[in-house]
This record gives sequence, structure tokens and C-alpha cells, in this order.
Amino acid sequence: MHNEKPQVFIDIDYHELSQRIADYDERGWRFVNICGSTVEGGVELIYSFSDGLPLENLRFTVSNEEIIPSVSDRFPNAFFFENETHDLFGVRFSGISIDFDGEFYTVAVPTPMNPHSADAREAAANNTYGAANYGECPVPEPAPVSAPEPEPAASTDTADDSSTGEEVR
Amino acid sequence: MGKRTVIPFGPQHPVLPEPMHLDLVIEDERVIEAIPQMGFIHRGLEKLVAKKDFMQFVLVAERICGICAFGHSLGYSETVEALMGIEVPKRAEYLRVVWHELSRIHSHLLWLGLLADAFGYENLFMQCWRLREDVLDIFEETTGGRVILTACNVGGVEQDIENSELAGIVIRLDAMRSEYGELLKTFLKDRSVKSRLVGVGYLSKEDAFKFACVGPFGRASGLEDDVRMFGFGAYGDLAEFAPVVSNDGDGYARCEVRALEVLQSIDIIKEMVDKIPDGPFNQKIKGAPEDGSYSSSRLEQPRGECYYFAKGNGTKFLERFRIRTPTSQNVAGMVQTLQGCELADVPLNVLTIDPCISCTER
Amino acid sequence: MGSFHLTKMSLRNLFKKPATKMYPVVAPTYTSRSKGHVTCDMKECILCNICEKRCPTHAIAVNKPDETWSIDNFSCIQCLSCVRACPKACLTMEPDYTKAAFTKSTVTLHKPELTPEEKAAKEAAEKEKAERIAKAKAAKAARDAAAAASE
Repeated sequence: MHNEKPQVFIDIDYHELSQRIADYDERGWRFVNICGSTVEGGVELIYSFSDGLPLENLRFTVSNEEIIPSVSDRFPNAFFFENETHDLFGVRFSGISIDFDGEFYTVAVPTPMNPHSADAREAAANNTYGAANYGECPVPEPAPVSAPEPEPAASTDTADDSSTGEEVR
Repeated sequence: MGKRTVIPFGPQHPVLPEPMHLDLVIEDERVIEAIPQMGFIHRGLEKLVAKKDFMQFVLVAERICGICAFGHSLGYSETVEALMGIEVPKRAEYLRVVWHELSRIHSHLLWLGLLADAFGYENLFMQCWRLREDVLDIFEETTGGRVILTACNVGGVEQDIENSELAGIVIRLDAMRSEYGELLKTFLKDRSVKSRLVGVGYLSKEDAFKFACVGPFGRASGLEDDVRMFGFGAYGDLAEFAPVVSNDGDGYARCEVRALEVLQSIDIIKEMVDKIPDGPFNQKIKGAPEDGSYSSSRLEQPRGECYYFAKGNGTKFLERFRIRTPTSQNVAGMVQTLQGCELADVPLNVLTIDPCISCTER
Repeated sequence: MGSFHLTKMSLRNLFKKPATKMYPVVAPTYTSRSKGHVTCDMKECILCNICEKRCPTHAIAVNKPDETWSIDNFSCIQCLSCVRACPKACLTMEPDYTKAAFTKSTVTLHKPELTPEEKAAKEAAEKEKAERIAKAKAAKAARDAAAAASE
């Protein structure tokens, strides 16, 4: 016997999602995975559920602006996948049990797997890739350099440096 | 009511094989809450499908993790084969199972060593790893690599193992049993080991089901869940397979489940070698995955059920490839076991899910 | 139940030789399949460039005008793709692996100089080929002239 045949992929409408989730929860199925994939105009999401041998994958597409209700109230271990999908694809979930708000994976570029997500477009418009990289740790600005004077005026220079407010110990 | 403090655990910690961070809210040495944080080893490997064609990506999939290396190359190969509708020769399926079970033995021995180190029994840790070297020697003789094997590819396996070599492997594994029996006795019967493991990190069966725990972590709490039961690949030719299950749900049960699985794997390898058919071990692949094709597959890795997903787009590069590792499922269960435990038991509880964070974050 | 279950094993190990080797003082034992570094038999190599294209880390560089084949051993991941892809089977995986060093380095191999007999044979073959082409061209020109004259 080879691998699972047939592979069960069910195309659903996004609005059926909560009904289907409730159905799986009542039947005692186990939550397996959320997988995102960038498509034209949005993200295609695949939710997988399993009850031992049977494995069903629900497939639907959401646009980049849609906000999806979280399933972590019924399936507590979904918080991991929802945070990950938010960080990598920019899909927004509302009501995740432990919400890292974009800080789950520290990525250099926002939503690296989906360059057209709302977060990526906003960061590109504001040119804030650098800020996303460093977070609360600001890059220190260099101290202003005054023009060198012919006679040794070291005392005046150090007075200028300390007046910029940076304390150097 | 005592004062609450927040203690950071990790990302560097001697007990963790890979970096993970926990914020422990404690009150008088008892943990009230644990908030996990990951992301220290995220390398964005899933995006490399756009750069490496589907035959070369198996090399990337292998290098995601050092402990489950063969498992990921096997899961990737099986998923792409399901995507393209390729039938693998029977001998290749049997060889894959042999290597995968050897991989399970080496992973469990590694974990047993780390567990011993976690409660301070360094001698036991060293002995477990010394025994593991025998398995790594087998890997080196059959594939050339100790950790990264490069043995599995889409269409079969890269090289063959002669039947005489296979018989030699079974003899060596049988010779390991007596030494392994002594280690097993220490883990399961020693008074000091038991005092650190029994009753620690209890997870009831209902909780394990609610948090969808997989692998030995779930089986120790009574869930009878093992992908090998479903008979994919050459596992379907086993005479009988029953997962090792315990109902105690504490650290001792998890140790027992994994320790007994090593013996079960040796038996599986023996059965596979007895029944292995002759024939080709590989086949040439032509073409590329079709546009709009989807496939998914599951594998029982040493840590639990691992789910793979692949999507093709007509070119030789896959559109999307996803690995959902067992550790990402077990994190929620781990956070649950940490609630209410003592501070000294935190490393033990974290270790009992067998965290493999590098495959979780890819 | 009880304690000190490892006593027997510990005492036994006390009188056995250690399981570890004093590497690099003692040479490691390699198996026939051990993966170390890739080397090329330059006599057989036809500089076809297939190994360079197959290498996933771009460790191999082939330079046809200079007749060299070079590999960056520190980039090689020992995947054997080049060895399997070579049409002349001139690449082999040697078991001993690259030693640690302070800087990365590339190993470059040149095609060997031809012996005088081989050079003479090669020149004779080229001369014969040139004569054949000239004869065929002359015959074709004669045929074309005859066809033009008959019209």
C-alpha cells in the first residue's frame, strides 16, 4: 500500500469556514495544520484536519485585506500556525489565544512569502524595512563633527560633544 | 500570596538541543504560567523552493534538522511522488523503512541521553551516546554520512544496501540489545531516576486530546496515535504493528514509551530485512509537477506525526512546500504541563516533548 | 528498584579501551562510502560543464579556455550530484575530508600536458579531418559548377 490515496482536498467558500470548524470539533477530529500559499490577489489557505486515518484539507482563498476569525478557541494548538501565517503571509487573524502581533518570527522583511500583503505594501511605501529589522533598538546617530580649528582647542571640542546629550562612560 | 517574578528560560540552555525561549511567571518556585517564544532559528527554508528545482530541494529538506534529517528527505520524496503520481520500487520502500527506523533509534538514544543529562546523571548520558555511535557507524557504512545521509531522493533511494550488509546490520543491532537492556533498566528502575520522573509534568488524556498532542508525548498520555499503523509505504507489509502506549501521562511514561520504541524499531528492521524483495532501488524521473496539483502526506517521525504539503505549478520549481513538524503541535501541550510545576522540573518538562525547534521553524 | 544499576557497565568500561579516538593524532577509519571531498581525473575530463551546472552550491568552476577544473571544498556539501551526473565518470568522492583552516581555498586542477606521441596523433587526426573537409568542399564546388553549366 502506498501513500494516502486519494488525497482529499475540499474547496470551500471562505464563509463556510466557521461552520466546518465547529463540525470537526464536534466530531472529535484533530487539528493538523494551516498552510498558506501566495496566489494572485491574496493568499490561499489550507486547513487540515484528521481523525486517525482520514485526513481532509479545506482549501479557500482570502484577499490580502481580509480578517479571519481564529480557531484557537476550539483548537488551542492553532495559535502557533496562525502567528506563523500572519508573520510570513500577512494574513490577519482576530482573537488568537496567544497573539505575538507580528513578532513571532523576527523576519528582516515584513511578510517575506507574500510581497503583496497589506503589511509589505505599507512598509515599502514608508520605506520602513530598516525599522522592522531593528525593532526597539535604535541605530545610534553619529556625534556631530565640528570643523577642526588651527590652534589646539581640545577643551571646546569635548564641551560640544557632551552638550549633544550622549553620555559616554 | 507571594510575589510573582518573571524568569527567562533560554534561548541558550544546556538542556535544550535547539534554542527556544520561555517566559516563566513564577511564585515561590512554582510556575504559574509559561509564555513560549520561538523564531531564533527561522531560516526561511521554505522559500528556497523557488530557487532549487524539485529534485535538488531534497538536499535542502534534509538539512533542515540534524536529528530528523532522513525523515524530512523521506517525507519530501513521498509528497512529491504523490504529487506526480510516481510509483516507487518495492526494494526502495523497504530500504527507506530500514533507514527511517535506524533514524528513530538514533534519535531516541540521543533524547534518552539528554534526559539523563537534564536530571544530572551524566554517566548515563555518555553511555547512551556511546551506544548511539554504533548506529551512526551503520549510517556511515551504508550511506557515507553520519548525520546528513543523502540517501533518499524522489523516485527511490540513492544507493543500494546488499543483502549481506543488511544481515550484518541486524546482527549488530541484536548485539546492541544487551547493553541497551542495562541502560533501560537504569532508566526504568533506578530509584534516583524515578524520583525525578514519576509524577512530573502530568498531562491527562483529555488534555492531550484537546491540545492535539502527537508522537510519544501523546502516546504516553494514552492516545493511540501512530501513522505507522496506517500502513503507508513498506509499513503496510509488517505482520502486525501496535504502537507503544502508556496511560500514566507523566515524565516517566514518556521515557518508557520512547525507550521501548527503540526495541520495537529493532524488531521492525529485522522483519524488513527478512522480507526485502530484490529489484531496482531507483527510477528515473521525467517531467515536472503539473500546474495546479496538490498533495499531502504524513510520516511518523521520532517526535510524532509530521505533515507535508506540496503544490505544483507546471515548472520544475514547486510553488509551495510546507512541513508541519510534530513539535509545533506539542508546544501547546508543553505549556500546559508547565503550569503548576516546580522550577527545577522546567528543563525536564521542556525536554519531554523532544523539542526539535530547528525543524519547527525551518 | 534500587540504585547503582550502571555499576556493572562502569566497571566493565574501566577495563576496556576508550570508545573515542585521539583524532587528529590517530587517523580516523573511513568506510568505502564515506564522503570526504570530490576530485577529478583530468585525463578523462572533457570540460563539458555538466558538474558545474548540477552543483547546488556552485562549488565547482570549469574554465574551458584555460582547461582547468576547480572546486571550493569548503562549499561542497558532499551530495554526490556531480559524481552521478558526470558523463565520463571522471569524478570520484574520496573519503578523507577537508581539514579545518583559517581561510577558504579553492583546489584547481589542470589538464595534463599531452605526451609527444599523443600530440603527434592529435595533429595527424586534425590534418586528416582538414583534408577530408577540403576534398568534400572541392567535390561540392565541382558539382555546383557542373549544374550551373548545364542550365
